[in-house]
Amino acid sequence: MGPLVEYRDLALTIGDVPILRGVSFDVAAGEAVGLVGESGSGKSMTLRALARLLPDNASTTGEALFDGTDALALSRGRLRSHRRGLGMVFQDPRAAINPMHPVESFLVERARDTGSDLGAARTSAVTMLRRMGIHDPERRMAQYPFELSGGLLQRVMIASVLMERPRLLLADEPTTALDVTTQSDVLALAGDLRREAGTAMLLVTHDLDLAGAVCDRIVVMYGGQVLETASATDIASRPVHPYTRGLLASRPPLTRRLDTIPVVPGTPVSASATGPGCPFASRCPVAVERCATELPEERLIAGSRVRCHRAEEVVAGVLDAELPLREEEVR
Amino acid sequence: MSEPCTPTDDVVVEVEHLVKCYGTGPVVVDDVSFQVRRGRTTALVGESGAGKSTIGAILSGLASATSGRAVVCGEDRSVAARSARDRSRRGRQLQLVPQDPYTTLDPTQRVGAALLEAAALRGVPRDQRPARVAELLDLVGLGEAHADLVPRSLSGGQRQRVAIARALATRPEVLVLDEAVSALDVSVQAQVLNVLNRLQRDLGTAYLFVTHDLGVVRQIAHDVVVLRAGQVVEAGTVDAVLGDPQHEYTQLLLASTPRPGWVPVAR
Ligand SMILES: Nc1ncnc2c1ncn2[C@@H]1O[C@H](COP(=O)(O)OP(=O)(O)OP(=O)(O)O)[C@@H](O)[C@H]1O
Ligand SMILES: Nc1ncnc2c1ncn2[C@@H]1O[C@H](COP(=O)(O)OP(=O)(O)OP(=O)(O)O)[C@@H](O)[C@H]1O
Ligand code: SF4
Ligand SMILES: [Mg+2]
Ligand SMILES: [Mg+2]
Repeated sequence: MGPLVEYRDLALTIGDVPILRGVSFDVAAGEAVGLVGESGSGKSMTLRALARLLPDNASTTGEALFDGTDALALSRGRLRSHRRGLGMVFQDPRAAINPMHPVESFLVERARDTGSDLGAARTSAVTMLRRMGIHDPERRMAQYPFELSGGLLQRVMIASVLMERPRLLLADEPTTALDVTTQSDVLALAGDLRREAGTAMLLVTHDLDLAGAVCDRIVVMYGGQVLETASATDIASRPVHPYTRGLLASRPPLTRRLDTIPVVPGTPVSASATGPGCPFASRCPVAVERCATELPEERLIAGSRVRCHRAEEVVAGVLDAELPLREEEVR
Repeated sequence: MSEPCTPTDDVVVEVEHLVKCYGTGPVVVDDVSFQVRRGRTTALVGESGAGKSTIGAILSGLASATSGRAVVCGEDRSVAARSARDRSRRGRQLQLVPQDPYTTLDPTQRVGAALLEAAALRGVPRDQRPARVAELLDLVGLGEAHADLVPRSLSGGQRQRVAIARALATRPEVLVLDEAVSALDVSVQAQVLNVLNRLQRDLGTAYLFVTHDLGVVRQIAHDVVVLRAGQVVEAGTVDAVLGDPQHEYTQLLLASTPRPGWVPVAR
């Protein structure tokens, strides 16, 4: 059996502007994969390609396969049923819930559409809301979305999606707008439900620590490309790509005040602003001449799939003096 | 050009029993007291709706207090400024940097012009203004080339640095930074935090730093005030509060903050 999700050399342009440049990685059944990177790196577009939720003027090459079916090659009619197999959660739940109807109507919508037992759907909704940490589910279901806080509404959203036991959950910054205590709650509860149902997850986030905590594997994106893919533990304890090292090092540590936080100079670049070589070349502290002209192949080095001409040297530790290092101890 | 507090004053901001209700609404700042020391940073942390921005707004004169005192450089700001002269003096003592500099930077105004204007408003003599602008750009790590750009042509981190440079035009005694680095990418956020720490060492500016990120608190602050629903639940030095939190809410905030090896738990 192949992977549940497979991106094969996905390239995407909007108008004439390149957004993704050859994205390849996969997600196994039941696996949680974190798509991490800074603003504009192409995380959301990558995730959305799998449901073909792309701008009208987007064009693509390559494939975005779910369960062996390329979302980008489907007819409109088949796209609907394709999307139904995916659970989707975005940053702003209010954009996805009809404000004119009570929460209950949203939760039993699928049952109504498919003509299944509404009473059973209601019971299962109550159970799911409770498991998402909502203590008074009956009262909440009678309320309208505007009566619920963002945190409560996101719990409702996640409950409604996981209720269907989808094989894949697509989650784009689902907790970014929430307070940290709520975020911790929601991640823990949704994680339990997801694992029980064997639902795989593709999680988009800019927070590498958060991704490491809830995902099995991490995909690091920059300028519309994947620069490193490795297990969450490897990314945290021995990142290979210079950009991954920079990302980890620039996160302000909780335990100790630093004289200076090690930084990656400059600002993130979009896919359209990168040259023919390594997209990170303009900011990389260990770039060499060929980096600007020659795109590094993706190679498997020390357990990481990584695109860097100097990956062996990083692994050997000979570049440590020049690369930012995270200060905080890793358990 | 600045309007210094009396040089012996070690406390530049003194908030005492501050209370705020908007109109006839509920109490959103509830008997809050804390200090900001000269050349030091006090962080104001807490979750959404805790009242952090409201306190910043009262200190910068954008909102009035319902009761209590908000003293900046010896002057109580819970009383609205009465004259333009008062406002101008207050502006020289304390400046606000908001989360999104788009809301305060004029989109049509070039960076250099915005900084010239800030220098003029703060009474820098005309012949000294260009030098002040160059110095300000340099202070926040931008080059003279940035002076010709409009905000739209700058990255988020660059815009935030322009907002900081503009606020520093008068060499204020205090900067109130309200989630000023929260929207930035982590690599850029680190750059801005480093700039702020360097500026504080060089200029001795005090910061009131509003944030919900405890990692940021550790890197920038000396003292920290933890707010929940308008009330101070815990306050002290950063080492004490983050290293050995006493209140269960502070403990919960710490336990909920992602870091290496962190695992989310449900309450
Ligand atoms: N509708 C659109 N039209 C044109 N360009 C777009 C559109 N949507 C996104 N882009 C561009 O595509 C690039 C990738 O965007 P994407 O939303 O995937 O980034 P991201 O990694 O999710 O960033 P963020 O963390 O800010 O959400 C960005 O440079 C963005 O400006
Ligand atoms: N202009 C206003 N009129 C009425 N109520 C307001 C106003 N500004 C803020 N509030 C209310 O005051 C309370 C405190 O808000 P404040 O913006 O100070 O919180 P905060 O700690 O800055 O939160 P956040 O982290 O979300 O920015 C909230 O309940 C808010 O809804
Ligand atoms: S390929 Fe070159 S520029 Fe890119 S990360 Fe590796 S060393 Fe740096
Ligand atoms: Mg996005
Ligand atoms: Mg606020």
